[in-house]
Amino acid sequence: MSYIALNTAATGMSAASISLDVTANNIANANTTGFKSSRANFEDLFYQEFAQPGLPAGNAVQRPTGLYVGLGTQISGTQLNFEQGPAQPGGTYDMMIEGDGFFQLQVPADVGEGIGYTRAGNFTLNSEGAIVLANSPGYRLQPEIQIPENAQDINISQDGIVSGNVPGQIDAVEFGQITLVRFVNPSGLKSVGNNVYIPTLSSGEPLEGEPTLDGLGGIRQAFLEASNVDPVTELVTLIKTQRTFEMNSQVIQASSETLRNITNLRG
Amino acid sequence: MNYGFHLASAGVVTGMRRLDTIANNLANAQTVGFKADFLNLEARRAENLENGGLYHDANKALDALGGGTLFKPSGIDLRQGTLRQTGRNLDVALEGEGFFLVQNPGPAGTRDAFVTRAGELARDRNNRLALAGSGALIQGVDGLPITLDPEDPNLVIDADGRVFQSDNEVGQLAVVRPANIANLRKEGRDLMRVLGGGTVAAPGNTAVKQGALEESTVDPIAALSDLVKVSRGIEFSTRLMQYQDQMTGRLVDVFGRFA
Repeated sequence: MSYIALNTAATGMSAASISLDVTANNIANANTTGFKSSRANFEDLFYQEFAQPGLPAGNAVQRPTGLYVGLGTQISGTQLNFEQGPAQPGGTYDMMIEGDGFFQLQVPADVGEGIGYTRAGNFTLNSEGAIVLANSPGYRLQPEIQIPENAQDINISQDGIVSGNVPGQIDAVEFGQITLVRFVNPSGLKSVGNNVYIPTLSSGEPLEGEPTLDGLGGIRQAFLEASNVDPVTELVTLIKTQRTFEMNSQVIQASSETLRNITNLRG
Repeated sequence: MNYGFHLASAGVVTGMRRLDTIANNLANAQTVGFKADFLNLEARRAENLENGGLYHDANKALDALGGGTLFKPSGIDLRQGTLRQTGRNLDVALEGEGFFLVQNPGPAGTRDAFVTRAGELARDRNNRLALAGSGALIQGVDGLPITLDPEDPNLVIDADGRVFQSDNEVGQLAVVRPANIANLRKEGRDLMRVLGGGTVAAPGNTAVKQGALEESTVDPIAALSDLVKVSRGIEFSTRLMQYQDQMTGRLVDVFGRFA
């Protein structure tokens, strides 16, 4: 029945519209610090068997292969792309991870057991002098680092040591050590918004370490990692997705026409 | 009932099935590694001849008429798809004949091999290479999944499918083709099953390309022109059925009346 074609084309349209949503989010976040683009992966659905191989084909021969008709497509998942984003200059507390790794943040306890992970390094100080992410909830960097009120010339080294000058002391004072974490399968992380990711079963456990060691990247102070959304790729995807959507709507029209012809058979 | 009525209805039935196939192809126009299906038709012989009867001169007109249309077995168009660069180190594409071998995702006891051309890979939480969508494990040449070093983020896959992490070879992707190409059966979820006959190594010139994906082989121009052809074909066949029906109706009207 051409209901199959109708439904198949509908799966094509709904998958294309999910893909469009993913692309829209990517483009909307083309200027979001530390944003990682996603892509929607398509996969084919099941196949309906109309004739098995080896069955008599009607004219005294056997079918060498069968007759299968596919039932459409679906989005098998979205994959995060953790490619490094370009560097852009920032302020004193802005940090960029050059290479693999995530900053750790204290997030509400009901989100990912209280610890979230981010690539966005747009940090600042809160009223208590703690280093916090300059996003709307102001999540605290973990392990927590407190900067004294009178500290000057804050320096963050490549391996994550935060130091500065305090009046009355000749040598620079160390305020803390930033540690990073890494995941075996970062594509398996879950985005919870506010630039924050939380681990899942498929991402694996966070592996903590000091920057520049154990495969972790180094920290660059006064730089920000820009969004890794590539506008050209996104626009090409947008065009392809829109056309796929249109083509599938053509199939819907054709099968609807077919059904109308059949319904009107007994005209 | 009129013979022609059945011939025309065979046209509608086969046309609708072809429409289904076109719909599936177009729905998968963006599925990585997807191979388009094709469904061909053949002329059916006259019923008498099909049943092994002889060709009767006396009944020439009807015996030579043919029996309408019939499906030929469906096939898979295994043409190479265009490679699209993605730059992701876990995207792989095959250039040339062959498939990636996937660990059997079926219930225990299923011995058929499963293969795919969709190279969107991911590390699973046990550090093994798997298909990003279905999570099916990629099989190495040694018949085992490829386990990566969790400490090492580097990953290079060469043209022979050997997987390196900082100069250590951690495995080699098995690239195979079915012993008999006709035994391929699509299973959905990017997988194809090899029904019996087993697999053999792919030809040596098949190259694995890291950082690229193979696009779907669905040709939108051909698919849309087929769509027009098939839907018009169905329209003609239904029109013919209507004519046959009107004729029979007239027959009943004119001759079927008893005075």
